[in-house]
Amino acid sequence: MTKTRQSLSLSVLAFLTFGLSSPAQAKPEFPSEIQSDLKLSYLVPCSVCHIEDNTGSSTPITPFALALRARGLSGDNGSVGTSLALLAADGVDSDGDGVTDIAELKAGTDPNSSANASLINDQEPGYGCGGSPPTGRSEGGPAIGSALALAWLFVQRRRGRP
Amino acid sequence: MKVWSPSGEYARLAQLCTVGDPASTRTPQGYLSFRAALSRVALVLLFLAGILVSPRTAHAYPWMIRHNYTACATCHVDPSGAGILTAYGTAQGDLLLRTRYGASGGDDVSPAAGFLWGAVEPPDWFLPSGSFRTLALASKYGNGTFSTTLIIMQADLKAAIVTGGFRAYASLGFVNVDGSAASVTGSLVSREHWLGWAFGEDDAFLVRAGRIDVPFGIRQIEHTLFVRQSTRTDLNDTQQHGVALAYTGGLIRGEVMGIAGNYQVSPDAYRERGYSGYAEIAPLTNAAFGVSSLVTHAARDLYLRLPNTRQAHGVFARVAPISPLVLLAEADLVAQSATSETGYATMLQADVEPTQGVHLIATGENMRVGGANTGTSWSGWLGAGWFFAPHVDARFDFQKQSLAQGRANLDVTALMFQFHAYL
Repeated sequence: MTKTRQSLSLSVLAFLTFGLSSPAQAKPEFPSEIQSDLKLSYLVPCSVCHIEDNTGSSTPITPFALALRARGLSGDNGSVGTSLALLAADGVDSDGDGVTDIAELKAGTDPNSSANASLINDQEPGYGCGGSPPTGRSEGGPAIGSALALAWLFVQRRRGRP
Repeated sequence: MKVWSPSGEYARLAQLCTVGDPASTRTPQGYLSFRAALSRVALVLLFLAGILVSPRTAHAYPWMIRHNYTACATCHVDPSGAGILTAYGTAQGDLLLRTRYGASGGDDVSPAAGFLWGAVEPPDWFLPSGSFRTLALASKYGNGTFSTTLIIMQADLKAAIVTGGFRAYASLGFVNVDGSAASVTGSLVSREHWLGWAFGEDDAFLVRAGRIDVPFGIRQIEHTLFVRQSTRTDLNDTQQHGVALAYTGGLIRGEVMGIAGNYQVSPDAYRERGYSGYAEIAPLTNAAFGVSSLVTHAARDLYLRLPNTRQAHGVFARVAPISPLVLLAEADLVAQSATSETGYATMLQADVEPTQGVHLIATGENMRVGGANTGTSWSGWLGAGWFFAPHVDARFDFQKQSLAQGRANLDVTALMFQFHAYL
C-alpha cells in the first residue's frame, strides 16, 4: 500500500472510529418515568429537558435537565427517580420564579422559564416537510462506512498494493 | 504543477493528498490516474457513509482579520461568512490556514487544496463542498461524575453555483437526533438553501432568498457561546427562511434579512417573523466594529411555548492589535415579551497563532437573561486548535461554567476534543 493511501486510510479509520462508537441514546421512556414518579396527570413533553424537543444524549441541556444531570440523571431509567428526589430535597428553582421545579411540574407549568407555559396538552412542533413531531427516539448511527473502510484496508493490505 | 517535499513525521500526514504519490498514480500530464482518483473518491465516500449521522455547525474563522481580511465575502460564497469557500478562499485556506511544512512550503498552493483533496476538479462555476466534525465530550455537572460521549457534530454535503451574478447554494446532511429545526424529513437536514443575484461594482451587493444563516453578530463556530444561544443566531439549526440583502464594500459591509419564519417547523404558530441585520465598519485593515439588531415575533415561541416578541441588539468587534493576537468581542441585550425580562450576554475571545496553523484560544463570557430572580452565568474556556493538513483540523478545549439556576449556580466542567474535515 502506498504511503499516501496508507495515511489516508488510517486517517479515515481514526475518524470513523468516532462514528462507530458514538451512537446517540435517546430515552423516550423518561417522560413516562417522570409522570409516574411525580404522579402527574399528563405526560411531560420532550421540551422540558431538550431544547426545541431536539432529542439525543447530547441535547438535554435545559436548566431543568442540567439540574437533574447534576443530581445523577444518566441513561439508566432508575436514575430518574433518584435525581427527582434530590431535586425536590434541594428545592431547586431553575427559572428563579419562586416556585420549585417539582412544584411547577405538579402544577403543569414549565420549570425552565418564568413564562410558565402550560405543559398539559402541549402542542409539540412538527419538524420537516411532513411536520412530524419528535418521537423521542434518535437513530444510533450504525457507521456502516466504518466496517466498509476496515474491509477496504484489509483488502488493500492483503493485496499488498504498492 | 508545483511540488513540495515535506520531511519528518509530519510528512506522513501531509502525504494524505499531496503530489508526493508514486509516479504510477500520475499521468504524464501530472493528473491523478483514474485508478488513483477512484481510490480516493471511494475512500471519501466510505468516510461519508460512515459518519453521516449527526448535527451541528459549519466553519467560520473571524480571526482571519489577522491577515487583513476584514470582509468574509472574499473567501466565502455567503457574504457574511462561513460555509462554502470561493476559489480564492480555497487557495487562501491552504496558504494561510494550515501549517506549512518543509523549506519550500511558502507561497505555493498545494494541489491538495482543491475539492476532495485534489481528486476531482469541478468546473469553475460549481463549488461542491462538505463539512464533517466529531466531538469527544467529557462533562461533569455539579457534584456528579464525569460522563463521556462521542458525537458527530456535523455531516453535511454542500454545493454552490456561482456564474455571473447568479448564485445558488444548498446543503444536505444527516443528524442523529430527533426534532432538528433544520429537518427536511426525519434525520435528513438542510441547514441552508437559497437562490441569489449579485450586482453592482465587483458584485458588492447580493440579494438572496431561502434558508439563510441569520445575520447577527460575529459568525463563529462555537455555537454554544452565550451570545449565540441567547440570540439564537448560531450556525447549527437557527437558520430562517427569508429574503436578505448584503453589501460588501471596502470600508463598510452589512446584511439585513426579512425573516419569514422557519418553514421546516410547523405549525405556522411556531414560525418567527421579523428582521435581523448587522453593519460593520473596518477603519483599519486589522480592526472592524459592528452593530447588530434583531426583532421577531412568534405566536408560539419554540422555546417558551407562548406568544413572544424577541429582541436582541448589540455590538461587536474584531481586532488584531499586534501579531499574532486577535481579539473578538460581542455584547448583546436580549428581551422577551413572554417573560417581561431583559438581559444580556457578552463574550471576549483571544486567539493567538504562535506558528501558522496552531491556535491558542482563551474565551470568557457571561450572561444574565432570567430577570431579577436569576443570577449571572459565567463561562471560561481554554482551547488549542491545529490545522495540521489540507482540509483537516483538530481542537481541544477545557471549559468551566457556572450556570445560573434561579439564584443558585450550577458548576459545569467540560473537556472537548474535535476533529474536523471539509471537502
